[in-house]
Amino acid sequence: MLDQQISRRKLFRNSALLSAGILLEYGATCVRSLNAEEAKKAAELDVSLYIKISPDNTVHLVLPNIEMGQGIHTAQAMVIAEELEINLDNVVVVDAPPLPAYGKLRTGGSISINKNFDKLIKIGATAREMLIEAASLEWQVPRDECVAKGGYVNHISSGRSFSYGELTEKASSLAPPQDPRIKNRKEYQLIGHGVPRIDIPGKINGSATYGMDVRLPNMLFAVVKSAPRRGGEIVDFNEEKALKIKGVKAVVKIPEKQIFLKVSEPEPGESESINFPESIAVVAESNWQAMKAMESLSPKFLGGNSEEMSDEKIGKLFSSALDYLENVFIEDVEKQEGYEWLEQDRIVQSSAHSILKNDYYFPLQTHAALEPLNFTVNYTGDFCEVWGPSQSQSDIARMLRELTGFSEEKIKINLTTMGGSFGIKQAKDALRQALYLSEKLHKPIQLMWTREHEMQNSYPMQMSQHRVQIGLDEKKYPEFWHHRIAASHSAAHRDEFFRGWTKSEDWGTRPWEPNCADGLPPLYKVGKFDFQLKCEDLGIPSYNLRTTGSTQNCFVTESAVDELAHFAGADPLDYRLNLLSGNERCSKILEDLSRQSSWTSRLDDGFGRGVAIYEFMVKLNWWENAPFHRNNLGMPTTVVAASAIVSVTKRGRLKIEKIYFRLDCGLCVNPNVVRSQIEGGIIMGISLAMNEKLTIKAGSIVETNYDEYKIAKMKHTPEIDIEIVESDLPPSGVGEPPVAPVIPAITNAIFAATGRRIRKLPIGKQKLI
Amino acid sequence: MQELTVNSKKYELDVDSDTPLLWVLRDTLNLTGTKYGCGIQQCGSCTVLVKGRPVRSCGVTLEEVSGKDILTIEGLSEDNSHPVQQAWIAEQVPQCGYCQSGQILTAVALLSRNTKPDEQTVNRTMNVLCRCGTYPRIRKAITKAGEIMEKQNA
Repeated sequence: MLDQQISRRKLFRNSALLSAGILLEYGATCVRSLNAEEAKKAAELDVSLYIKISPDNTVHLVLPNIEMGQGIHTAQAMVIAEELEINLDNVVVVDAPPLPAYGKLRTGGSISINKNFDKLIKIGATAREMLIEAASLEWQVPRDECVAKGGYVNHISSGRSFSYGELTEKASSLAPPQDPRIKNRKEYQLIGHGVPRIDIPGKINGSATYGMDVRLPNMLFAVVKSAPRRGGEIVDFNEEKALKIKGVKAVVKIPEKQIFLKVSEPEPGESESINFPESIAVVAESNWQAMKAMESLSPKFLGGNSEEMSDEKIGKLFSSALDYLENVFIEDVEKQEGYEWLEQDRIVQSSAHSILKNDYYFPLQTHAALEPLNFTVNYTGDFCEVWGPSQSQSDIARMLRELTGFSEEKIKINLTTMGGSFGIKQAKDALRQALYLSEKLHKPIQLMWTREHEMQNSYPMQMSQHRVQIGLDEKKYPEFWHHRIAASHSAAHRDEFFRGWTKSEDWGTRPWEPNCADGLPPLYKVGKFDFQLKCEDLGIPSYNLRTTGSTQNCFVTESAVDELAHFAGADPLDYRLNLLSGNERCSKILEDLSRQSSWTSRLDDGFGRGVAIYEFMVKLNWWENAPFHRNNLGMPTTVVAASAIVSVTKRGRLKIEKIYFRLDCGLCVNPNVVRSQIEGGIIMGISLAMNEKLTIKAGSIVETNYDEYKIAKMKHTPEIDIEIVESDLPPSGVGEPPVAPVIPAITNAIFAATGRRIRKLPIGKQKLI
Repeated sequence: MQELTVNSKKYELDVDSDTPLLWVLRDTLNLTGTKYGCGIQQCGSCTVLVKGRPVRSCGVTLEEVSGKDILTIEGLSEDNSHPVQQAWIAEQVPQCGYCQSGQILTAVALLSRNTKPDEQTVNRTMNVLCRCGTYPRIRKAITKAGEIMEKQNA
C-alpha cells in the first residue's frame, strides 16, 4: 500500500478550515495533500486520518481512534512526532468527525496502532520532507544542507533556521514527495520509549471533560428506568407524586419500539432485534431531583420475553445444547469410536487411546466501567448537537441521521473524555433516549444511566458453556480436539444497527455469534479440530467485554491442556512446549517465561504455580467451510503469556501472590502505555476469575450495584512482574490481549496447589480444599 | 439557605438540605471533577475531603457538611503541583481517569497522616474502585508522594 504513488498534487491554501498550513491526509492508498474545500467535502474522499500544520507551529492530528484510557492518542501522536521531527507537546489530537467519507470510525479490537502505524509514519515523513524542501528553496541552498529537528528546519553551515509554522505557506505550494525517507528503528527518539501520556494532566485535577461534565445553558437532567426484561411494558407509575418533587419538569414515557419503527421497518424475521423494553424518564433541574423523583414515580413493569429464564434454566439449556452438539460433526469429521472416556475428575485407567471430556463454564459478566452510560443532546428542530462517550462516532452519526432525518451538516457530534468502556460504550441507548427527550421538551437534555440501571439493563458479555473432548494417543498427546460451545445469543437483541452481523444464513440452522469462537482452534498441535456452536436466546443482549470470546476460549483451552499435561504426568510448561514445536515465537515466550518466573524452583506447601499462553487476535475461520484453522485476518498478532503463583491456606483461603507476564506486541511504541495495559489486563483478569458474576432470575439481572457485583480492589492486586519482548515485527494490539491468559494461569496454579480443578468461573466461594 | 465552604470559598446555596454533597458540587457549583459512579458509597469516585477526612460525597447531605471545610480535586493545587499530583504524573497513573479524583483525594488524606503507609494500610485505605486496574501504579505513586512530602517537610 505504501508503495503506491501520490495520486494528486494540488496547491492547497486559503480556506475556512486552515488559514494557511499544510494539510496532509492518508487515503486508502497514499499520502496526498488536501485542499480545504476537499477537507470540507470529505464526502468524496476516503480519508482516515490527516495532519494539519499551522503557522503557529501547532500540529493537529486528526485520528479515527478514540481514547478510552488505553493510551492510543499518545501512541499515535508519538509516531507522527517521530517522523515529523517535532516535540510531542506540539501535537493536538482531534477525534475524526463522523463524515461518511471517513468510512466506519470505530475503536475496538485492539487494532488502532497496527492499522495506522505505517500511515502515520508516511504522513510524518512526507510533511517533514516538504518543510525541508520549502526551507531549501527559501534559502536557495541544497536540500541536503537542511536538517529538520524539534519543529525547526536548520541550515547547519549558516546557522539559520525556520520554524515549521514559518514554512507552512511555502511548503503548502509544493508537491508531496512520493517516496520520503523513512527512519529506521535505530534512529527513533520517541518510539520505543516510555514517554508520558498526553492526557494525564487533565485527569488529575478534575479538568478533563467527561460526558456528564458537559454544561449547557437551560440544560435539564434526566434519569431513566426501563422494564427489566426486553419487550416488557410499564403498567403503573405515580406521576403526580414525582412531579411534586422540587425542580422536576416532566415525566416522559419513552416508547422505544416506536422510535425504532420510525427508523426502518425490520426485515422479515428480524422483528426481535428491535425488541427494546419500555422506558420512563424523569427530567429535572438537577440529577438529584431527577433521581429522587424517579423513586417517587416508582414505575411498575410487566411482561417481556424470557420471563422464565434463570441461572438454573440456562444451565439446563446449555447442557442439553451440548448433549446435542456432542454428536454433530462437520462433514469431514466422524464421531470417534472405541475411545475410553476420561470424564471430569474420574480419570480412569489409561489405555492406548483415551478421551478427556470436560465441561467448562463462563458466567455472565459485565463491563462495569466507572462512568455510566450517558449522553447530552441539544435538538433544536433544525440542528442536533450531541456530547458524550462512544466507541464509534460513525455508529452514532448514522443513528442520529436516521432518527432525526437530518443530513450530516445538521448534526454535530462532540466526543467527550471516556470514563472507561471495555466494550460497553458501543451502546447508544442513552443517546437515543436523550434525543427523544430533547425533541419532546425542546431543551438540551443530559441523560444519565444510574449505576443500578446500567447494571441491570446493560449489555453484559455473552456467557458460555464449553464441552471439550480430546482424543489422546499412547503418549498422551492430542489426536483430535472436539470443541462444542453453548452460548447466550447476543446480536439478536442488541439493536437494529447490528442487524446483519450474525452470519446465521451461512450456517444453516446454527445461529452464529462469530466472537464466541475467537482464539480457536487452540494454538497447539491438537490433531483434527472440530467445532460446533449453539446460541441460546436468553433475552439478554450483549456487547463484547474486552477481549471478546478470546477470554473464555483461552480459559477453556489452557485449562484443558493443563489437564492433559497432568494426565500425561508431564510438567505443564514442558507439555505445552511439546505441543508448540515448530512455533518459535510462542515457544520462545514460554521458555523465557519459565526463566523469568523461575518456573522450576520449589514452592512451599500450599503454594502452586500455573501457566497460560495466548495469541491475539486470531479468529476461527467461521466464514469458510471446514477444515477449521486459525485466521489472523492478515494482521500481526500479539502473544501473551502469564504465570501465576497462588497460595491456598488449610482452610481454603486463596491468595494470588504474584503474576509474571510476558508480552510480544511486535514494535512496542510506548512501553509506559503498554505496561499500563498489561497491569490493567492482569487486574481485570483477576477480577473476572475471582468474583464477577451476574445472576439471572425471572428473566432479569439480580445484581444492582458494585456491592453485589464485586470488581477487583487494591487489596486483590498481587505483585506483578512484566517483561515486554524485543521484536522486529510490526506493532500489534495490546489493549485486550493481557486479560485472557491471567485467568487460566490462576486456576491452573490453584490446581497445582490443591489438586482442585476449577472448571466453572468465577472461583468465588468454591471449596478449594 | 445553606452555607457551604468548598476549596476555601464560601457559598450560600438555595438547595434542599437533603441533597447529597456530590450533586451540590456537580450540579449547583459546577465542580464536575468529583464523579458519580455508584451512588451508594461503594466505588469512591465521588470522594472529597471534609475537614481533611475522605468522605464519599454521594453519602452525605448538604446539611451534614454545611459549615465544614470541603476540599475537592479542583482545590488541590492551581497547577498539578501537589505532591500527590506530582507523583501521579511521575508514575503515570491514570488510564481513563474517571476514578482518579477519588483516588487522589483518598491518598492525600492517607499521606497527611502517614507519609510511609505500609502495604496493609494502603490496601485498607485505598478502597476506591478502578476498572482500568491502575492499582499497581497507585501503590507506587503513594510511596513516591510520601517521599516528596517528606522532602518538603524537611
